[in-house]
Order: sequence, then C-alpha cells, then structure tokens
Amino acid sequence: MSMTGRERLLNALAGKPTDRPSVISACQYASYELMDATGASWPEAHRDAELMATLSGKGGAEIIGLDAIRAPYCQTIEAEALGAKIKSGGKTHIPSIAEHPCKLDDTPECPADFLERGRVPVALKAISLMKERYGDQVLVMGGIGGPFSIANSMIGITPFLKAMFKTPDKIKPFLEVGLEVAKKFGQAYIEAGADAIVIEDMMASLDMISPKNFRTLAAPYEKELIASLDVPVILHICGKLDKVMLDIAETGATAISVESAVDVPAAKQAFAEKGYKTAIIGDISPSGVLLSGTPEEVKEAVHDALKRGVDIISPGCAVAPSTPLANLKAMVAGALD
Amino acid sequence: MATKEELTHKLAQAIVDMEVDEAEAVAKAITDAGWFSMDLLEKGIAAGMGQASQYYEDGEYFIPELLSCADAAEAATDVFRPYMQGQAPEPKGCVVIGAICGDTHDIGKNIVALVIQAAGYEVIDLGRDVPAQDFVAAAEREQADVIAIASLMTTSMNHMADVIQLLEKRGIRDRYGVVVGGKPISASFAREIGADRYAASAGAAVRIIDEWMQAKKQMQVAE
Ligand code: B12
Ligand SMILES: [Zn+2]
Repeated sequence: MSMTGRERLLNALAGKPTDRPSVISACQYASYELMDATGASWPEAHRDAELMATLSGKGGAEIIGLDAIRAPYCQTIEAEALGAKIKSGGKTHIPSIAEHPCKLDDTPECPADFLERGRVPVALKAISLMKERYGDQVLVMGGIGGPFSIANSMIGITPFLKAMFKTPDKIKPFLEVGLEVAKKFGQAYIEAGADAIVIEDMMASLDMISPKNFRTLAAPYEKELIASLDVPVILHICGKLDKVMLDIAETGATAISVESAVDVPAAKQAFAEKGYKTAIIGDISPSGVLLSGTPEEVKEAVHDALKRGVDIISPGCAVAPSTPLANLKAMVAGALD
Repeated sequence: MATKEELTHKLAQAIVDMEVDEAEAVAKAITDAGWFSMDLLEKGIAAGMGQASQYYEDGEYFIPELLSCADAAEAATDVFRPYMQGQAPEPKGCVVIGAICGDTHDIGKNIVALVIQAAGYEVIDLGRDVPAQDFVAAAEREQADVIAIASLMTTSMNHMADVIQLLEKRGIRDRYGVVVGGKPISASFAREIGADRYAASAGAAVRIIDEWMQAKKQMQVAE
C-alpha cells in the first residue's frame, strides 16, 4: 500500500499504521536553496501570499517531499498586528521586533480587526492557496504563536519575565489577549483551509521559565487554545522539557514537537503509563545534523530517532536557512529505508 | 547593631533572594556606617551573584529569578558607585562580549557577561546585533584579552567566523582568545570556524576564560 503524505501523516497523528514513517517540518523550513529553486525569496515572501505559498508549498511538497506544508516562517506576525514595529531581516535574516506595542502597565486588548492587520491576511491567503494546490496530497498547517509567547512579544521578554516573578497579576491580561489572538488566528486558518495547526510556544520553554510557571502561566492557556481548535494540533516548545512532558500532553495537543534535548523513550513510557496517545514529533537537530552534517549523517539521525520511539520525523526546531537542500531531502530519504 | 561582616553577608543574601529594596537598604547601611571598602564588591555583590548563577546552573533558579538577582546587585552597586572613585581593583583581564550581527537574542549573553564580571573581569558589552568589525575595533581599543561571541540562531552563527577572519586578515589573531557560545553552537562548530574555545554555560565560560588567562600569563613569563 502506498499512501499520500496526507494520509500517512493523519494516520501517524492518530496512532494508526503507515506505509513508512511520516516526515514533516513542524517549524519553518524555508532555506536559501529552496528560495532559489522556487524563485520565491525572503524578504518578499514574508509579505506576499503567492510567494509564501510557492516557497512553502512547492518547496515543501514538491522539492523536499514533506508530508505536510506550513506557513509562515516568522514569529512576529501577531506582534506586528498588535502594533509592534518590525525590523526587516532582508534576504538572509528573519524579521525581528524593533519596538514592542505595549508597556507592562498598559491594558492590552485584541483589536477587533486583528485578522485584517499586517501580515495576517497574507498568511491566511497563503494557506488557502496551498490548500488549493496541494491539499489532496499533503497536510496543510497554519502556524501561530502560543498565548505565552504572544503575550511576551507585546511587552518584551525581559520585562515580562521579571513581572512574572514580581507582579504576576499584571501579566494575566497579556496572557488573555495572547489567547484571544491565537484563537482568532487559528480559527481563521481553519476557515482558510488549514488541516492542522502548529502552535509554537517557544518562550514557554524550560530554558526560560520554571516547571511551576509553565504549569500556571503557559499550559492552561495552551489547553484552552487547543480545545477551541477543531483540527489536529501540534504543539512545539523548544529545549529540554523532560519535567513537563506529561503537562504538555495534558494540554490536549495531538502531537508534541520536540528537540533532541528531550528524553523521548522516558516520555513515551510516561505517556503509556497514563494511557496518553500523544504523538512525539522530532527530533533531528537543526544545527548539529541538518546544517552541519552530511546526508548520510542525517539518515542515521532519522534511523536513530525512530529507534528511540519518535513517531513522526521532523527537524527538532526551526530549520536554518543555510541548511543544504540535500540534507532536507535526506531526512525524507532516511524514512524510506 | 550589625557588624560589617553581618551586613556583607546580608547583602549577598538579599541578592540571592532577589530583594532589590533590601539590597539597596543594606548597601546604604554599609555606606552610612562608613564601612564601604572595595572588597564588598567581591564578598557581597559578586558572592551573591555567584550563588545565584550556581542556582541557575543547578536548575533551581530560572531566568526570571536570575534577572531579579541581577537587579538587586545593580541596586547595591548604584549605592556604592560614588564611593568607588579611584579605587577600582585590578581586573583579572578584559573581555569584549556581544551577540553577533543578525542576532538580537541577548539574554544568555547578558547572563554570561554578568557572571564573567562577577568573577573579576572587566567586561566591555557591545550589546546585540554587533558587526564583526565592531568586535575587532573594541578589542583593539580596549586592549582586551578575550573576545566572547554569542549566537542563538542558525541564521547568524556563520557570522561568528567573520570575526576570526577579520582578526587573521589584520594579523592580530594571536592577541585574543576567542570564545563562542549560544544554543546552536557546539565545540565542533567552534573548531570549524577557528575559535579557541566553546562554553555551554556562563560558569563554563568563566572557567575557560580563567584557563586562557593562565596560559597567556605563562606564555608571557616564558617570553
Ligand atoms: C527568548 C527568545 C527570543 C527573544 C529574545 C530576547 C532577548 N533579548 O534575548 C525574542 C522574542 C526577541 C526572540 C526573537 C527571535 N527569535 Co528567539 N528565542 C528565544 C528563546 C525562547 C530563548 C532563548 C534564550 O534566551 N534562552 C535562555 C538563555 C539563558 O540561554 P542561551 O542563550 O542558550 O545562553 C546560555 C548558553 O548558551 C551560554 N551562552 C550564551 N551566550 C554565550 C556566549 C558565550 C561567549 C559563551 C561562552 C556562552 C554563551 O550561556 C548561557 C547561560 O547559561 C529561543 C528558544 C529556546 N527556548 O531556546 C528562541 C529562538 C532562539 N529564537 C528563534 C527565532 C527564530 C527568533 C526570531 C527570528 C523570531 C521571528 N522573527 O520569527 C527572532 C530573532 C530576531 C533576530 N534577528 O535576532 C529560534 C532560532 C531558530 C534557529 N533555527 O536558529 C529559536 C530557537 C525559537 C524557535 N523555535 O523558533 N527570541
Ligand atoms: Zn524550537
């Protein structure tokens, strides 16, 4: 039996059998070689739906051969729509926030026209184009920030972290707006044709906050967001998450996307004991293997990940744009043999 | 009334406990009593920050805690600053640090800078998104011993090599120890770009910079 990428990934997410292991990239996968090959490049592709759909769709589905395609590439879209000033990253870098829209003492709110602001319509349109062109072959995924990460981006990470500690009540309104924004954006993606949603809550990493804060300030909002989205949801969080893997599973995510810092066999065991079916996606190292390894090493890393119980193969985090295309293809090839 | 030793200890503890107001008040009590001396920087402030960064490395403190400790240390230092004129101790060496161009991540770099400084080095912090030539210019201007470069992103890490190439082009590569760090960086990447050392944490950064300074001194003695 040979499956389409779409069938394969849907089965893998549901814990059903597949013809071979599924390969995706949960976070961004645009690379310079992919930009050359598709003729759609940064920075234009950040602000043009057709280019975004081409780079992500053609690049992911036709050129790399992934089972899912996703947009966008950058995590500043929500912040920009909330009023942040953005500094372009040019062709080689990624956009960043030059000025945050709020201060800690402000009362934030989710603008009524959020979906019409900044690059939000671009990302939504790109998803609908991708669905139209590739929707029968691969899964189409819309990417949003997690409530915790969106809340952070409104006032800046350092003031946020300090306030978390000293005046936690002041950050609750930002988390609420982060949740509302993420819900709106996620639901709009689904209406535009997205088959799945990827939530990147990179700031809710234990690299940044304690397990206790994760449980009180990040996970409850993730959970409410996931409950509001009627499609499979992949939750990506960076870094070493061993102490909160069960908490992440309890958010209700269909799958968790992790880096190689996570002890996958231990997490699988803990899930099994609780009867959790949450799939684990990962954990090919974007810098150690994909960027600087050989195609052979990439394939070995794929085999090793499968041996450790990773359910769906993916880079552990965002792909470096200078990653050789041969290595991205080798990640798919590694699942074929 | 508390003795000077007690207050010094209390200051370190206030920093570990993230008590900004308390740290400031204790520092004032010390200066009011006329007890300010330079060793307070070491025994009070650096000791407190050292303990805090140890807790961080042990996974007991996280970044919010560490940043708040740094605020407390800063508040105490501000109280002491007017008394420090002309009495600055001889630093162990000079480190130029920054996050490489294209990279605006600086939390990790700031922590490293804080801990290196607490360990007795003069630290010239160039901030973030720093072009290669600025690292070299600052190192030359300050006659630094070590250049420490941070990168948190796979888009920016390749630019770390530019600093080393520039040093080589100017024929001044051996004047500086080049230390690199940040999440996607590894020892093998450091070797590849010709850096001297890689450190995975702030504590490790201090250890390797200490080693570097030792080696440098021995070389100078040998010459
Ligand atoms: C906080 C954060 C931010 C904050 C940064 C705030 C700030 N002032 O620093 C903000 C929100 C601004 C941000 C922005 C972006 N970020 Co960011 N961010 C993170 C996050 C969540 C944590 C990084 C961090 O501070 N860790 C904590 C510190 C303490 O750890 P550390 O830096 O590793 O430092 C330790 C060691 O490495 C070492 N060390 C550090 N520096 C040095 C230096 C030397 C010399 C030595 C010896 C040692 C050393 O010591 C430190 C202490 O132990 C990571 C994901 C994660 N969880 O890791 C993403 C992450 C790094 N960001 C990422 C991205 C993509 C971005 C953006 C491009 C987002 C966008 N536009 O879409 C922008 C970048 C813009 C730019 N041009 O730089 C990606 C990078 C992906 C990649 N492949 O490279 C990550 C991995 C998240 C992701 N999955 O997408 N980000
Ligand atoms: Zn990540």
